Amino acid sequence: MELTRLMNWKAILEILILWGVVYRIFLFLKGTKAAYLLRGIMILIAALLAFQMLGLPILTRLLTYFFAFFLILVVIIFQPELREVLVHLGKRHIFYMEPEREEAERILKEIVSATGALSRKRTGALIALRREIGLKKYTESGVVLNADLSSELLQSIFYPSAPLHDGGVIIGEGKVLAASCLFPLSENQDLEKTTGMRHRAAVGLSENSDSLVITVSEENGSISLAINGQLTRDLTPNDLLTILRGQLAKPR
Amino acid sequence: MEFFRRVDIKKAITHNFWLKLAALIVAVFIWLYVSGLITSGGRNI
Repeated sequence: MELTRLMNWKAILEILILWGVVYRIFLFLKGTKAAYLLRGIMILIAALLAFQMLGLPILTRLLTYFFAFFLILVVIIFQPELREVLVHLGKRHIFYMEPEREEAERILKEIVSATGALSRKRTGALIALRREIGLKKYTESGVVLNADLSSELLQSIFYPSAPLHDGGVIIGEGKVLAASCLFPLSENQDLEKTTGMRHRAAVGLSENSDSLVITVSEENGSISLAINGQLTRDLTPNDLLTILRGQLAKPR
Repeated sequence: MEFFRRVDIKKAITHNFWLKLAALIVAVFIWLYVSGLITSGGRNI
């Protein structure tokens, strides 16, 4: 009864706004250590509802007190992250933003051009293209750049004496998000024994996420691509472009 | 109008579907909690 009294267009508007804000926060936390905190909040909510339904007043009240305290604690602990969420909120569409097709094509061409140039110079490279699954954990292990993507920038990062050339680069939202990132090494026994650390890291990241990971071997300049734990070796820049186009156009 | 023409409704819904659903559940919970329909909404704290 009370619910129908309270439910009007204003309530729906409030819920929609709340939904947008909560979704942006979830999206931001996805792939970070803070995602565990989200799970904790969900468990608290479920427990609160369960206690309420079971009619356990003391536990309900206790959890209500704790919930209020917990929210204050979250604000204090995650103050820098929350500030970033608010900054990001103004920059993007609330629910979905896909880079323009032309922009996506430009980004792919820049990546492939850089890969080709690095391959010709036999400069080792490790480039991850983030898709759905967040890579915050790995971004945080490197140096955050958030720089506009260009072939020249990628080549500069992997220049052998450059400070950021070790580790991998993460690309997402049309930007070079971070460089010098540590990727997990694959423990796949089926990989050839001669597979180097860079290629193992590429396979490892592709096993742990849906990212597309490109590697350039510094031994022979060969280009490889890891997708879902599978490594495809000796690609030409054109092959790479075709595969990347296909993969990124694929609905997931 | 150009903006609306560019929006792919199906993709907007299916993209991160579970995250959107979880966010909706949490948003509804927060609203119900604050409005006092679940527990006392912290009003008696």
